[in-house]
Amino acid sequence: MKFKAWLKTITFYEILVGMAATMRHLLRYKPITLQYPHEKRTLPDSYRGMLALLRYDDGTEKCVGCDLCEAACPSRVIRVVSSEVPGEPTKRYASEYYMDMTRCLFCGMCVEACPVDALGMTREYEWAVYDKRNLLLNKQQLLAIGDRSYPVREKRLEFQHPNVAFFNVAFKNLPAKGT
Amino acid sequence: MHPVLDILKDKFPDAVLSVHQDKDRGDLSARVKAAHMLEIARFLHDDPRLAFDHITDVCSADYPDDPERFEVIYHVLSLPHGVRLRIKARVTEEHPVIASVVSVWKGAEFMERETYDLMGIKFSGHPDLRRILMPENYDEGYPLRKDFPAEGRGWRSSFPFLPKMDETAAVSNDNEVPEAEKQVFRAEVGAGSTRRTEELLLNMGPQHPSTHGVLRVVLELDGERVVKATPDLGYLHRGVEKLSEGLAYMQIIPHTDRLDYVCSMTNNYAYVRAVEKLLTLAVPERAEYIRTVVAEMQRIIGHLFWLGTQALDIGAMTVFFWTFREREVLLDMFEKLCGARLTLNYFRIGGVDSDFTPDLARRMNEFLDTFQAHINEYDSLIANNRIWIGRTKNVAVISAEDAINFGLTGPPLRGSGVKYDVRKMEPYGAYDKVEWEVPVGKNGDTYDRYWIRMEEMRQSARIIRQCLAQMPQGPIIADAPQIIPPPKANVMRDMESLIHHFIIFTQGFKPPKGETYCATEAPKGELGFFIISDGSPRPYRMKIRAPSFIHMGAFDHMARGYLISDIITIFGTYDIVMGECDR
Ligand code: SF4
Ligand code: SF4
Repeated sequence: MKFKAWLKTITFYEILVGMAATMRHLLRYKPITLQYPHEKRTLPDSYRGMLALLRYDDGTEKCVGCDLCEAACPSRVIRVVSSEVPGEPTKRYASEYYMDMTRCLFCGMCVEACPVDALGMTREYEWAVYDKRNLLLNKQQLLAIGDRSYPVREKRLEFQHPNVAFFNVAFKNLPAKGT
Repeated sequence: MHPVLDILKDKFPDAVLSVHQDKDRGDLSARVKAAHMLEIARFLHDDPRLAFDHITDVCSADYPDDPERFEVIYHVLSLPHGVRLRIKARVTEEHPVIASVVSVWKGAEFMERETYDLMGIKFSGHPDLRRILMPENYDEGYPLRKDFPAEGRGWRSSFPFLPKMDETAAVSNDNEVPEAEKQVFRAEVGAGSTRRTEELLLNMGPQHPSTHGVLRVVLELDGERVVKATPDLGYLHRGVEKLSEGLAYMQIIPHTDRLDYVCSMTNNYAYVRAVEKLLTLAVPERAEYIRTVVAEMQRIIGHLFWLGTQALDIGAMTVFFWTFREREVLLDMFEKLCGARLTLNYFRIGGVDSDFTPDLARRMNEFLDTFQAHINEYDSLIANNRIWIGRTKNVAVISAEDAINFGLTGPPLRGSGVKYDVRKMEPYGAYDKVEWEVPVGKNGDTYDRYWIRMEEMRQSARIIRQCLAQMPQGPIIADAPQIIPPPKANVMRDMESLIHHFIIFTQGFKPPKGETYCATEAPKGELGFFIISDGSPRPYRMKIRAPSFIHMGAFDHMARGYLISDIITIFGTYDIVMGECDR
C-alpha cells in the first residue's frame, strides 16, 4: 500500500490522470464558444428583453392608460399620463408614456399587470448606449420597438394567453365567457 | 404549550413576560425583559433540555408609537432537538441598550453589529461595536428606523459628500492612516506574533479579484502569518430590507433575485415560502415539484460556479471552463423556462410563473445523463491533485462546536460533521417525497467542504431525477383570488377577475397581522426571511438572514494563523456572494 502511494507520488500519477482528461477533450474538440457579435444565439420566445408598447392589427395603440403597469413596477420605471381619446369621452389612452430603462429590472411585472396586453417584452437586448439619457424612452420610441418586434411578440402572446389572438383584431370574435 | 416555553417560563417567572405559540405557523416566541437577556441566553444555550446552541439571527424592529420603541429579536435554533425559538426584548428610545450575547454565541458579533448599524441599538459588552454595512463615518442616523425615509435622502447627484464630476479633486495631504483608526484591525495584545518585530497591516480588496465582489479585509500580518483578519463589509449595501418596506409583497420578488445573484431562484424560493407561511397558503403539488426541481438546478449551478471560481483562485484554469460549460446548459434551460438567465423572477406567491414543459423535462434528463460523468471529470482533475490537496487540506479548519457557535450553516457547517440541513429538518417542497442523503464531512477543512459540494451536486441530480419522474399533473399556482392575480385569459373576459386583477396590482393583498421566520436551504447555507406584517399590503419589517454575512463573522476565527496565500482559499471556501452579504 505504502509502495503504491510512493509510486503514485514519484510518477505524478494524479497529474497524469488529469492530463488524460484534458487530452480527451483535445481529441473530442467541440467548440461551444459563440463568436458574438458575429454569431448570435436564437433566443426563446419567452425571452424577457427590452420592453415595448404594442398595437392592434389595425394600428391603434393597445394601451388604455390605466396606470396598472406603473403601480405594479417595483422599480418605478414607468410614468403614464392618460387622457381621453379626443371626441370619444368613453375611451382613454396614454397621451404620454415614459420608461426610464436605466432602472428596469426586466422582471416582467408590468407585462403581467397590463390588462389589455399592451406591453410586451421583446427579444432585443443590445441596448448599450454611451449616454444614459438615451435610455429614457418615450411612447413613440417604445411603439417603434414594438413595431420592430411585432411578429415575434404576436407568437409569444398567443403562446402565453390563448385569447390574445382574438383581442388582436380589435375586439372582434370575442369568445363567450367561461370557455 | 410547547415544553420549551414551559421550561423557560418556569425558570424565569419574572423575566419572561409572555410566551406564545403560533397555532397556524408553529413559531415559538417569548417576550422577555431586556435587562435579563444575557441570563436567559446563557440558560437557553447551556440547559440540556433546551440546548439552543445555534444562533440563527439577531434583528430588530421599530415601533415608534410604543413607549418601548425598539424590539430586539433573537432567533435561536436547537440542533439536538430541532426547535426554533424567537426571543424578543424591548428597549426604549432614550436608553437603547441591551446586553450583548456574544459571550454565549460568538456568531452574534456580526449580527449585533448590524443591528446597531441599522437600528442604533447598543449592545453593552460587545467586543467591537462599530458600523458594519454603512460607512463608518455615516452620521445621518439609523436607516431602518421608521423615521428614516424609505426613499432615502434624494438623488445621488445631490448628495453633498459625493464628488462632483466637474470639480477638481480635493488634495489629500496625508496618506498615513491615523493610529487610532488602525487600532480596530489589530489583534488583542498577546495574540499571534512570535518573533517580535512589528506587525504589518495589509489592506486587501475591495477590488481584489478573488473576493467575489467587493469585500475588503484588513489583515494584520506577522511575517506571512495572519494574526487578525477583519472583514470590512457594506460596499454593496443597497438597503433591500428598507426598500421592501415600501413595496407590495409581490413586488419584492424581483428584488430578492439580486441578493445572491448566482442562485437567484433560491432567494425567490426562500422569500415566497416565508410569505406563504405568513399567509398560511397551500401550494399545488405540481408547483411544489417544479420548485424543488428548479431549486436543485440552482444548487447545481451555484456549486458549479463555486467549484470553477475556487479552482481558478487556487490556480486551476481548466475546471473553471468545464464547470461553466455545464452551467451554460442549465442557464439555457432557465431561459426557456422563464425568459431570463440570471435574474429569474420565476416564483410567484402561491406557485410558479410558467410550467415546466415535457420538452424541458426531456432536456433536463439528457443533461443529467452526462452530468455524473462530468462531475467525475472534475474530480479526476483536482480531487487527488497534490496542489489542490496541499492548498485545501487542513486549511481553515473549524471544529463542529465552533461552527455551531458561530451560526454557520450549509456546507461550512456540514463540513465540520454537523448533519444539519433545512431540507431534512423541516422538509418543504418535495424533499420528503424523494430519497436523498445529506453528505457530512469529518475534518471541517476546505477539502471536506469541497467534497461536500461535489456530493451535494450528485444528490441534487438524484433529487431532480426522482422529481421529474414523480411530477404530477395539475395547476402550477394556487387558486386564491384575494392573493394571486387571476389568469390573464380570465382578466380579459370576466368582470370579477378584472376587479381582482386591478386590486391586487394597485394595492396588493393584505396578509394577516403576524410575524414569521422561514428558513430555506440555499446553496450557501440557510437563507431565512423574517417578516413582520401589520396587516397592510407591505411588510412592516423584513429581515433577510443572509448566510454569506453570517459566515463572514467566522472569518477572523478561521483565518488566524494561516498564511497570507491561504486567505484566498478561505474566502472561497464559504462560497460568499457579496450581493447577499451586504444586501
Ligand atoms: S420589467 Fe419590471 S422593472 Fe422593468 S418596467 Fe416592467 S415592472 Fe418595471
Ligand atoms: S401599458 Fe397596459 S397597464 Fe400600462 S397604462 Fe397602458 S394599458 Fe395600462
